[in-house]
Amino acid sequence: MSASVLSIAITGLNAAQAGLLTTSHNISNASTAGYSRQSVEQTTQTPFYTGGGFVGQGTQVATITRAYNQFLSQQLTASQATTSSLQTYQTEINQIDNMLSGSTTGLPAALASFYNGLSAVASDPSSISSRQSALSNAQGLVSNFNDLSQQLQEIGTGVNSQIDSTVATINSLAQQIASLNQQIMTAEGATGGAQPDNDLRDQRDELVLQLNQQVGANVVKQTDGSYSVFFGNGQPLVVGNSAYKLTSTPSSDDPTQRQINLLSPNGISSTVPNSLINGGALGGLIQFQTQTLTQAQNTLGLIALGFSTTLNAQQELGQDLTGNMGTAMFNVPTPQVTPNTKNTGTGSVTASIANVSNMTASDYTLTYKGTPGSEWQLTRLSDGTVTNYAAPTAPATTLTTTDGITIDVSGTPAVGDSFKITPTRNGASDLSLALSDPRNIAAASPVTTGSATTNTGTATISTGSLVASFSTPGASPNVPSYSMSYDLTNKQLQVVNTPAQATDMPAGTVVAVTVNGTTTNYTIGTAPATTGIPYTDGMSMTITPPAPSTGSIQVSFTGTPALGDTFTIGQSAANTTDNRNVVAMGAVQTQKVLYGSTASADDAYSQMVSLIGNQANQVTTNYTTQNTLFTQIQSSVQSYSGVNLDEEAANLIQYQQAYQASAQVIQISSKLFDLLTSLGN
Amino acid sequence: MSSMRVSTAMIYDTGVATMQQQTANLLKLQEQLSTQQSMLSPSDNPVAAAQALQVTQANNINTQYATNQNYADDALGLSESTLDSAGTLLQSMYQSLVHLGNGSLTDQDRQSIVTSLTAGFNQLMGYANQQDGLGNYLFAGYRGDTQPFTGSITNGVTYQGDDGVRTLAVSPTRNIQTSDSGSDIFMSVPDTSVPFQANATGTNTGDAVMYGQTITNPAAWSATSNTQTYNVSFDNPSTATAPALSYTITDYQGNTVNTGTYTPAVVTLPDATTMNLKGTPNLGDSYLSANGKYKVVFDDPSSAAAGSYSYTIYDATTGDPESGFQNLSYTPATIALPNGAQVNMAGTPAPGDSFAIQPSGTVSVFSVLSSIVAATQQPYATADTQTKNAYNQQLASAISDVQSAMNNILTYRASIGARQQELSSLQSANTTRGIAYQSTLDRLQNVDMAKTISDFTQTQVSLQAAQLSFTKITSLSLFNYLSS
Repeated sequence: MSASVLSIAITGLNAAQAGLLTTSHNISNASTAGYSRQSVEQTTQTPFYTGGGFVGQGTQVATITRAYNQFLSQQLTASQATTSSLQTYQTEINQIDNMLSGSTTGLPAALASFYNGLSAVASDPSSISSRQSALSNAQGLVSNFNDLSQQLQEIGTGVNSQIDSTVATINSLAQQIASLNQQIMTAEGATGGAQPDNDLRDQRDELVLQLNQQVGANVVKQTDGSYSVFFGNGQPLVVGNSAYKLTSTPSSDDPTQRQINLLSPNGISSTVPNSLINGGALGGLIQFQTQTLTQAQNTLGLIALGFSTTLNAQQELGQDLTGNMGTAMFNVPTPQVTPNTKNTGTGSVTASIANVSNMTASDYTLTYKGTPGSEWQLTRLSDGTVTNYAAPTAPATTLTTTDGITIDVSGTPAVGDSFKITPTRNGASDLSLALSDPRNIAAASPVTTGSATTNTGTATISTGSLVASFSTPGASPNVPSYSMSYDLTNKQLQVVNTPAQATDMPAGTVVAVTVNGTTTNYTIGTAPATTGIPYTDGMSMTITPPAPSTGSIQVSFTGTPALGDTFTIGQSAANTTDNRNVVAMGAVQTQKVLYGSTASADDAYSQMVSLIGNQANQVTTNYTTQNTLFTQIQSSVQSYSGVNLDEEAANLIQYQQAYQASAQVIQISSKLFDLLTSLGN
Repeated sequence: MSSMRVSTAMIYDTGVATMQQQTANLLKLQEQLSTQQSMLSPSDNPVAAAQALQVTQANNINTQYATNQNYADDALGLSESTLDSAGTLLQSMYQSLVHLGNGSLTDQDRQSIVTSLTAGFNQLMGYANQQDGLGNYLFAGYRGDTQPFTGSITNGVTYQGDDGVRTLAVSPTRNIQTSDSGSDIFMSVPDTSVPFQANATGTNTGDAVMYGQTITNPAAWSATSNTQTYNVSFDNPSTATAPALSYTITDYQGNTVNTGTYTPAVVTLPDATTMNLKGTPNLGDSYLSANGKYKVVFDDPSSAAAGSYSYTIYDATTGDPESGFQNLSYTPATIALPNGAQVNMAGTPAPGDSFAIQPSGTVSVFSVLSSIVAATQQPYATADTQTKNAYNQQLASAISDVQSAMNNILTYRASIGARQQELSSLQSANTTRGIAYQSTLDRLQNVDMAKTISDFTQTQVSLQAAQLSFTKITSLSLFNYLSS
């Protein structure tokens, strides 16, 4: 077909019109998220050959392309996943960070008030009002532990509900990507795959970006143009036009946390381990839950346990205003053990605190492996340390005492059954005050000591204290009476065991004497026996009668005794102004009762604040860095794909002028036609 | 160099992001200024946050020590002033006792002193039973709700408290004693009436007694190597020729340190019977024989040798000196003890009898006072020599023991004073520490006003500039020039 000026002009007119349409499309979508500016690709029409060579036939629109850079797009989605994860983590950790701010409020202040209360009792042990005020302060401290733990639990509940809503968003996005896959295949299939559907592709890329805000996901572009989307270490989310579904359910090993399950289009469900979920809000939430929230909760629990256990132990060595041994001041929560909901056996596991100083803030998983000789496997979750233990031989039930926790097992577990042990999780939340009667603060010590008035030497015996109680809490003290007299010849304190005296030391009693840090044990023989204990000025003596007695007494001596000087030890009456034990309780404030006897409760709290502060600080720094990187990549993408209105204005002028020029050509063609027709006139 | 392509959205996004960042900075500075705190949350400076907590804890404990120091100071002050009053009272009672030694006092004079001593005794009981502002007895040990000293001058006083001493933590390394046991202060007064004890063993069957303990060589006797503990036992059978009896002195370990013989000092009467004198006679003392026939009078000081006393025996009925019994010499029997001490002995020990020599013990100031008051109430002017002698000796012992009680109280006051002094130096150290903690906290937490205000102003200027440039840039558009 031969060309005509008119037909060529029309091609130009069409092309200019396409240019104008595309430009106005760009202008309209200048602020549409994920929109890539489009441009018209014009080519020449196939030229017409004449003897004089090829005569151009005008122009045609080859295609409309979008300014899209796959490399930049991939970088953007990856950066989006990391940034969004850190942003979520930062939002969550800031809640705890803000909760812990202030050194004159909150737990440290409550701890200080508690010890101030005890000190007031030490100043005036007989005053019921100072005892009442000490109990009120104790209640205040307990409430503080409860409240802090409650706030952390609420944060945890918030995290769980955010996980739920994030999972819903992920499912919706996956569904939309799958349906766009279908639409794009249909739309582009109609062109025989020749033309891209730019707008739908932009939408799909934007959805992938939004998906990465929720969870880190990789896209593999299939040969048919569809996107396959995977998360974790290759778990499918979208394949072709079908989407998988995520569900969040209470975790089978820890119902307070969520587990993520993947439901395939044909209804098969599998659990995705938390460790595989990275990036996006979901990754940030899970990371926050496992790395910060649980640790904060456990550390707070450990502090509460360390504090309350030590205080109780000291309180139980004292004597209250009614003359009985002190009873626990706090109800100390026992370690929680949660059987996995998938367990099939009948085994049960219990845990108890053996030594709070050896405890860690970690959780543990105990799994029944059934391997002969090492049936049980204990995993410390904080560092993944795995230890195997042989099952106890009946009737023994104790499996092991590890990290200050005694674990008992019973029943018949099935292989693979597991139990999550969270020794400290409820330490702060379930702590409560056990004492209600102010008279029951055991300010006094049940031990009394004396020197005979006939003594002529300068030696004095200390007022004495209990190392271990001779009776159960709340019962009468049952402190035995002892008498020792000085044997000048051998420079010994003599204790006797005659068969009938009230002050006999029974056979088997161990008298441990410590001089300058060196301890020597003397054991009392079978009656009649006289045992000489070498006397040294400043020596300390611990007297421990044999079982079934449970107690132990500590005294010390200073000065020089004279011949026959006699010292006695016995049980004191209900003494109103004895403050020995409450002074010892007050000393717990600085006692290193946690982390292998390296930290006091206050120390542990400041370590926790420092830890959370550091984590928050690091997360903020990482977020800032990642966000800057994200902004830079976004700028690159915008720079490549974004609409510049000035540019579009220029294009508008350009296409307008092209249109006008082609229109002018048509006019000229018309004039030429008029000229030809006028020739006949 | 090709310039970067800029999309219109970028102009808006970047501009807004910059302004948001500046606003956030401004808000934080404003918060720092209004709270005066440089750390708004631990993440602002984790190290300083932890340090601030530690210092706050140390400061709290320090404040607690200050409270305890004040309490301890009050408690010690009350003990001190009570003991001061008790000491002054004992001083006046001491003077009354000294006054009693004046032989010219009438029984009526003595009775009025008894009245004043009884009043003093009750007042002393009051001091010993002093209560603090909360109703706790100061000197009851741990039994603060129990009146520690009960009884009366006639029935004797017993201690109901215990030996407990209260302490309070007043510094990281010091628990200071805030109370003292009443037993130590009032009931365990070192007995200074005798230099050491010399007591017949309970199983003795003879009538011999030891008295008049004297230290001849104070340095040797009070040397730490001297246990002051000996046993004088009469050999069974005696190896000496009667009337002398042999004895053995052993030390506390049972080793023999000395042997000797004892001859009872007796006064042989004209009818050939003998009379034992228990005690050391004074010039003018007279003793009536058991059968009432003779009177032994120590009336001539000049004729006896040192350590001996001369006497004359008179017919008790006629009052005439017995011939041949004038100006005789009486020498109390003495047993020398090792390490510079001696003791007088009178009477006849049975073979195997023994006497324990021990360091002097302690006495209760109340029992000393009640005994001497009871003794003073007996008629004196009309009493015989032996009774007077016994009374005078008891008075001397009482004077000595009351002085010892005063010294004992002084010792406790000195100890309390030393503790108060220690408290006052701890208090000033405490204040210094408190100031140091506060300044550390200020450094860690408080905002640097000058710097923060300057930062605030600078950020404000930046934000204004960003706002201005944003409006300028966004108003630029080619479309502005595309007019129809």
